[in-house]
Amino acid sequence: MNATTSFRAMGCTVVVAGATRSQLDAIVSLFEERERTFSRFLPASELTTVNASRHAAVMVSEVFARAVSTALAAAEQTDGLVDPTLLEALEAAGYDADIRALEADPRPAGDAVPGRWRSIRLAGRALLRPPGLTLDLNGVVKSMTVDEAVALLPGPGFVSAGGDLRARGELDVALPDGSAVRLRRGALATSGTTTRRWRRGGGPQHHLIDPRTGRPSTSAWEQVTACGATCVGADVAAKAAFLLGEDGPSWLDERRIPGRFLAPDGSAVSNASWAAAAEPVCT
Amino acid sequence: MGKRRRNRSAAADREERSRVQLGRRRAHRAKILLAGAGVGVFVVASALARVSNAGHHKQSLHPLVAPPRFVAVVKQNLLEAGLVAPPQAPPGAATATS
Repeated sequence: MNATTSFRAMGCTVVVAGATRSQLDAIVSLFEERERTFSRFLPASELTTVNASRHAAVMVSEVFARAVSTALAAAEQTDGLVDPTLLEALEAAGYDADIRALEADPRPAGDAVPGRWRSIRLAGRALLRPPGLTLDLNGVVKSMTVDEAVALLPGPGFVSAGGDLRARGELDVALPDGSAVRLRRGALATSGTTTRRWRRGGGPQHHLIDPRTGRPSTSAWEQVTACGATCVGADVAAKAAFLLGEDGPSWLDERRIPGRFLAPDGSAVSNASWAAAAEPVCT
Repeated sequence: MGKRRRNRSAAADREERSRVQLGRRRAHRAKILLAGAGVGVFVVASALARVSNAGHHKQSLHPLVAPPRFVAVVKQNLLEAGLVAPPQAPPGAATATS
């Protein structure tokens, strides 16, 4: 495996291993292009343009349509837990600028805005939604880009964006609780509240909005790591399991997805799928 | 005398030709009528067979596939598990909250 290289994109550090110089350039370009399209903080991005449109139907680019389609599939398969329509709720909670520029704001958080993903329709490249309904596709776009970037590697290696990681070949990966696991196939993603936190109205806020309440989640977990066949799948599974709180481990087990849960007191819990595959049996 | 006989024979020929032409036209019309009637009988018989014969489908055929929305979800099954195992070497990467 070639040396590990890192660069910043999409508000996080991207780490690449196993790429030649030209492949690394292609991966950097891919992340930059996706950021230009999907950043909600760039005034010229396609996402900003779509969100600003007052029309009910908007023609979007092919890559944008693909991201919306993936986001809707994620919402469908998690019963709406992973919802692309939570931008208004996120901004109401105070996440209305780049996370590095966010400062404590004494004003109270805005009104709760539950998710409305069922009001979105996608017909080819035509996006239909109620005027004023804004999208946040960051959740799926980052992990989708990791999946696409890994496909550019010629052999064993990995791509990780802010800790959402997909590998080609087997790889030992450190976990948030200090332990490690061997990723034999697929991807690992971690969702939690340890980063992307800020203060609003005197209280802590974070970016994982519960679409059922329209407010930052009050999950029992601090971080959840899930192992999916793809990075986008692992990310969706980790988010849904986090939002489900105590039901998260069994929800992942029903889908045979290995998951590792870290509580705020530092204790770690593995679901049955993780324990069976990744924890050595003591005899 | 001979000239008069020749004139009479030419008139008879013309009369004969016009009768043949009339007969041909009638035959042509009859053929069209018979063909049309045949098509009509076939269509009516098909419709009746469709309605009354148990071996004929009563509604338009639909392919035996799942609805497109369902197919799209199955095609894009995001929640497919990856594979983990106990660690065998020092970690070469890390997963963390982004």
